[in-house]
Amino acid sequence: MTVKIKERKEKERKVPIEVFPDPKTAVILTLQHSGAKNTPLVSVGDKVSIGQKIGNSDKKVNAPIHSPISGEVKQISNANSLCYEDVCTLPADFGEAIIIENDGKKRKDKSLVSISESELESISNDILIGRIREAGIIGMGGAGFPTHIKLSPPSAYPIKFLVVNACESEVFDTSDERLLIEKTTNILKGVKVMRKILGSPEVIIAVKENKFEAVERVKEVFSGEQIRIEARSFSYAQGDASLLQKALFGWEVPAGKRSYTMGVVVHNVATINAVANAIFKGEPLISRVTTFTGDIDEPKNLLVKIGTPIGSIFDHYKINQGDIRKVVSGGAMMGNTITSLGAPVTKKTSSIIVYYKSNYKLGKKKTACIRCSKCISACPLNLHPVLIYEALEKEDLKSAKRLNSEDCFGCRICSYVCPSGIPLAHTILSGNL
Amino acid sequence: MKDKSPNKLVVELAPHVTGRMTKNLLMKYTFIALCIIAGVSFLSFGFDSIIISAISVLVAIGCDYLLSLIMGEKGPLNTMSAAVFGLIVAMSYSLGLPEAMANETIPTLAGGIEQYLYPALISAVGLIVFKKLQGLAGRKYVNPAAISKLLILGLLFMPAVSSLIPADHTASIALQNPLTESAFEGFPPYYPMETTNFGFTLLTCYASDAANPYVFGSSENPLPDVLYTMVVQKYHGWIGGASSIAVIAVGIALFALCRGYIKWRITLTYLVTTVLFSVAMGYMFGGDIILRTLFHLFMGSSIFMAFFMATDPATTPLTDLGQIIFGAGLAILTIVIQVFMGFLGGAILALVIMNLTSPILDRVGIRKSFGRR
Repeated sequence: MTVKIKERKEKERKVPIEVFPDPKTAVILTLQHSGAKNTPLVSVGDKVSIGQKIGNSDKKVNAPIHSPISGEVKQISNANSLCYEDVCTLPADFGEAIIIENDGKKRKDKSLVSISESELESISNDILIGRIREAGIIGMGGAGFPTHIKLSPPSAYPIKFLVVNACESEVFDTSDERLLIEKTTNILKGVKVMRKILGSPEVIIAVKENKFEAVERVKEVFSGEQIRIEARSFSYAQGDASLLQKALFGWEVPAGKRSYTMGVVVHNVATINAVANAIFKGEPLISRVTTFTGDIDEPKNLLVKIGTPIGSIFDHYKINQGDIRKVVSGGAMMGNTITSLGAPVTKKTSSIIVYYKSNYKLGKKKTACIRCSKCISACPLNLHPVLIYEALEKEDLKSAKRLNSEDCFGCRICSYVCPSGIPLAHTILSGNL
Repeated sequence: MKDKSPNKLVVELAPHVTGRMTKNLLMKYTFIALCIIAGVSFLSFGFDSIIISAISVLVAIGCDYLLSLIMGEKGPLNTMSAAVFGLIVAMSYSLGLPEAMANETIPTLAGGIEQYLYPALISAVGLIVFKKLQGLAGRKYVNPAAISKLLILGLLFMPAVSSLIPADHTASIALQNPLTESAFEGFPPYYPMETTNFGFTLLTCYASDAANPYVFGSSENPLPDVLYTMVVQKYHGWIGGASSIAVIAVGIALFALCRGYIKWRITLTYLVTTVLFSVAMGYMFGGDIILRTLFHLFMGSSIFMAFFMATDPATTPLTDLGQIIFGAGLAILTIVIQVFMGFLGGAILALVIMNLTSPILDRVGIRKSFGRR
């Protein structure tokens, strides 16, 4: 049974993207993607400029990091102790934090070459993919997998479909929706880059039909570009690449296999926007749109520099920090709470959700399982969360594995529906680590 | 959960939004549903059923409170759950003897003070032993209300103190010994399945005049009367099953209100299997098939159990297929116990037996997960 999750986007989706000013200090984490950690390329005292690469790794699954501001490197320290202290949520490791103080000079690093749209066809795929890697682009829908790897699937698997994932089913989040409305042409450019790299597959844009304004804009701009527009009432879980494919094509990506084995590549709209920025503007991934919402009076969609401490957003909008009880970064369903307002916006911060003390209620109290089996009927992957949970509680990893616990992609629907407030998803995900 | 550090940012696990359903809300809805059924039973049983309901609920809540004082953290106060348990005990208590409605008197079973004492005892033992202590064992294996009633009224006292047993378990000879016609000469046998005898017994259960043997659709026993006594209001057996139509309506409303949180598959397969099995038995043993089906389907104990006891989440299987097997097995077992043991409230025995299979049925029908089919 598909679980309906209230979207709570009424206010958010109407607010245009607002450019947030550069922060006084930026905190750049060396691990913002899934894959290998970056090693800092700068040391304390170095001067850096906007867009300068400050962390890299020679590992394959990696995306470098860049300075979002010009200034001086003040400190390089462990990110966990700096801003994720006591965080018991996942993931546990954020690598190091590079702290840069803004000098306000706005010096720009020009190492990333830009091209014009007419030049696109004449440039080789390797160069384009190399530039996307150098720009540090990762899947911005939440998974954080480096984009250049998804764009270079093994040649044995020809890509038939490029799916633009604009479902954005996470509660509150409207950053992708606003991008679709305001940066439609830029996204189209990014789609063209990807289409070229992947050998002209059919392009499908999947968007939730209740994003009326966005659907209209997409239809307006994308029509005549041989792009199939699928505006449907996708469920929350169908925001996931595998489940989206099931909805669009009817097939299931075999467990443990990546989408390219089915001849499909799925990219988030924000990622595609970042690709267009990198290729045509020479701009690495140093800013993203994030939805700033929750208990605050006026929710906002902010174009904010990556590395901006979340606390500085509160300062800018004169929100009393003493009144804040909980802050969630990266979505109400899948995001983590932060323990310090010094924690920065990362490449994956699709939203910042604020809970005030006055409105704050602690979540459901955890009680014994009543075995209602709701989690089993709710799991979009047909897993058996309660059985995996019981196995893990007994530290019976074999049974958990037999129940395919490692297939869980962490949608948290099981925890959402549980009437006993059992952290099913968290336990399963921790067991998979 | 107390807010321990008011000045620090709270760390919580995702998700940060949750569904509206909580255990307490589920219990609240169930309690309200049971209250409606208790209210309807007033029409059949008068204040007796209301007093019995109040007693079992208060005893259950009281025991729960006392236990929470003794057990502390291990047995936290769970008033709503205890109240639901108490009301289920009351609703599954056999108050009415199978009797003709034409008699205009409702015989109470134990009569006197006992009819209030038994439910109180079942409630107390059930809550302390089978609800709380079973809970400590990590999971509940049998339905607390069913096992408690069974032990106290059925097995525990039967050989020793037969006078304590409510009349519908011992006194009604025709019901108790369905297969041995010759041993009870002078009494109308319940089975074998001659239409008249079966119909006669049935009508004594469901009203109509016992002096007029039932002939299906005859002028003395027109169909509407039969349907009325079976479906709308009857006196036999459990308080909760006094009105089948009320149980069905309230049950379906509750299932709809708690969509996905109540194991409706059990109820559905139970009802379907009951129909199929009754029809099959009708062909095997003869007799009026429609009447037999209606009897098994709408008997007070069966219909109440199907909606409110067989769906108890803790003691029933988790998987869809497990629930379907559970429902089907429960239906067959209930009919077999009623027919061949002559135990008219035998649904609880069937339920306890099926409950014990739940840990096995949990492993049946594990679905193939996404991408592995």
